[in-house]
Amino acid sequence: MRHTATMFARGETTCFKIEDQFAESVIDVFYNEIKLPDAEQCEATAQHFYRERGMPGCIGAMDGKHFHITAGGGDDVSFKCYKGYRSLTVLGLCDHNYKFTWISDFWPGKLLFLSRDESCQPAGYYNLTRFFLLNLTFTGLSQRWAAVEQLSPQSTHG
Amino acid sequence: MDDGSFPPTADDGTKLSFSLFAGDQTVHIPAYINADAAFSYSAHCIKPYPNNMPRDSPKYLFNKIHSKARQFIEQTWGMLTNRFRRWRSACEVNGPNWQKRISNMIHACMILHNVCIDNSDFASGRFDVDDDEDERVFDKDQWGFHVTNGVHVRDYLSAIINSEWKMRVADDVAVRK
Repeated sequence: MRHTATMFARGETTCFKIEDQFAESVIDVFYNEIKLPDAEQCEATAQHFYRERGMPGCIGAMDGKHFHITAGGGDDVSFKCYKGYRSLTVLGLCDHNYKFTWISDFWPGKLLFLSRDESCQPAGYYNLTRFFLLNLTFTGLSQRWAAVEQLSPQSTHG
Repeated sequence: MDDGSFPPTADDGTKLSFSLFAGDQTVHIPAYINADAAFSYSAHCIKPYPNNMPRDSPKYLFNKIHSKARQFIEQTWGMLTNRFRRWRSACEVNGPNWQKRISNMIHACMILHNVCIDNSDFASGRFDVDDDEDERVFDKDQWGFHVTNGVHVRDYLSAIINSEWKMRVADDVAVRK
């Protein structure tokens, strides 16, 4: 960032502001780029997963990712994840084209993923929060899929 | 799999479903998401069997194929972090609203990643795929309570995959002869 600031003869603060505005406008304009697949895309994904990897009926793979940050003051204890650094986590769901089809909200690293030493946390608390968070997520997903079902409930491949 | 019948009934809340020809019968497969061991049981979310299964057991084969299918998301994260190299190391954030701003930035990067894939720009070079070695090993069910639906769906899928694998091996033997 300092390099960019020097190249364009602007202050670093200006560059950070421009970066934030850019990110916001990208989200505003291309918000629909990350969307849940419709029935045809689901079928294509399932076929691809079945042919390439032998897993039938799978319409996406999901995983979490820790984005390593050095948190800027304040409540940064809640960002310390089990890997030992501070992070923002996000859950991503992708299809066979390596495209994201759904992402969750951004959470502090400690909330969603368990800390390595269990003695420092109240028993079962994080387990329960994570369980309910994920179930909320999936109820939301299945409500979205209810619309998909009306299009084509069955498909055939083999 | 309680009554031992095949195929076991997978009655779940999934709306979308597929059918697959396995041998001479058609089996019904619910749509689901492939997730790793850190997730909770759900009918929509299939996680691998816990513990290390002995080789040549049906559960071992299921876990192997499951992790093969899970490579997609691991590769996607690798592509994202190789395309936008800022996320490979610690990102320093400061100032007001830093949480909101960094979230916006990651979100924008994900959107741009999708746009790039649409225009067939795959990030070249070696993918920095996370290994699961340092991941926490969940050797038992931590939740204390099951959503038994998810376990049934997993057993059901395991049975299907294993029967199909046996067929495939038999075909190979027949071709070799």
